[in-house]
Amino acid sequence: MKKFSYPEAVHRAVGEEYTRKAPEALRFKIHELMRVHLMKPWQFAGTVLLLIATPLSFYLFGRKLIYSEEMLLMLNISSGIAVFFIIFAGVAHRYADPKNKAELLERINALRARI
Amino acid sequence: MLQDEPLLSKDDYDREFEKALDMIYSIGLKLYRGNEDDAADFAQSVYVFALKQLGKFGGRSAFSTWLYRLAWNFGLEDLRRKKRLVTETIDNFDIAADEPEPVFEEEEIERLRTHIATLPDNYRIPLILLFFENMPYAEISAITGMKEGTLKANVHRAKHILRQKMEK
Repeated sequence: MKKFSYPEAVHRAVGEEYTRKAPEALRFKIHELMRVHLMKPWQFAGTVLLLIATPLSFYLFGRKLIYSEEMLLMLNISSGIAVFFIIFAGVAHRYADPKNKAELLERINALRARI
Repeated sequence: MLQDEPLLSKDDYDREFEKALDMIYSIGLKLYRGNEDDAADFAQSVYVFALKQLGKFGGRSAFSTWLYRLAWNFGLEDLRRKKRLVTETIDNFDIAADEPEPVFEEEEIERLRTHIATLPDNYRIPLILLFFENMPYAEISAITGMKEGTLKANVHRAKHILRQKMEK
């Protein structure tokens, strides 16, 4: 019968216990991560600044300038759109984190399975 | 959030990472005692961490070797953060260094496997790195942050504990 030295026995025992192929679910999650666009911090800050530029200027200089009614309407609409984009950027930023994204994917998969 | 201009493009990195995924998942299993969820979380975190560190890959070794080492470093740092891997020196090390080396038979491997899984991380990780990953003590010391003397003592103690458990 074959006998194993200490290193051989540990090598074999550890190999049997811990050497496995990555599951398909993990491969799927990694593929999802590969699609996430990584932004540099200054790009993210710049995007947010651009988005809030219109409502901010309205807030700061609104009393000093004279606007027509159409202009006010336009500014209100653009403020609304900017707020939407800020919320969207916040959500996108949150799910750029792999842990949060993995959690979201799990929830979506669980929901799909239930449907 | 790439730091420097990397040697590998993002597409090349993705391709290389996918090839190395089984290896990284196996490192995760070794670090987290076979817990598949933790190993999967680990693999995802390594993907993002290695992407951020890609600018530091100088091409002096194969990319898979660089990734392998980075994954071990990342995982061991995580264990240290969770206080599961203590790197202090053992003072009261009193096991005789000349204990005879046991020899194992085929059917004993299964039991040995079970006992290795119950060892504390301080003993289990150096044992795996030494006998399974075939790393020299100097390299294990560099990635675990343990002194070589402490490592040798931990490996010796691990073997002692395993011998006692196997004799029961």
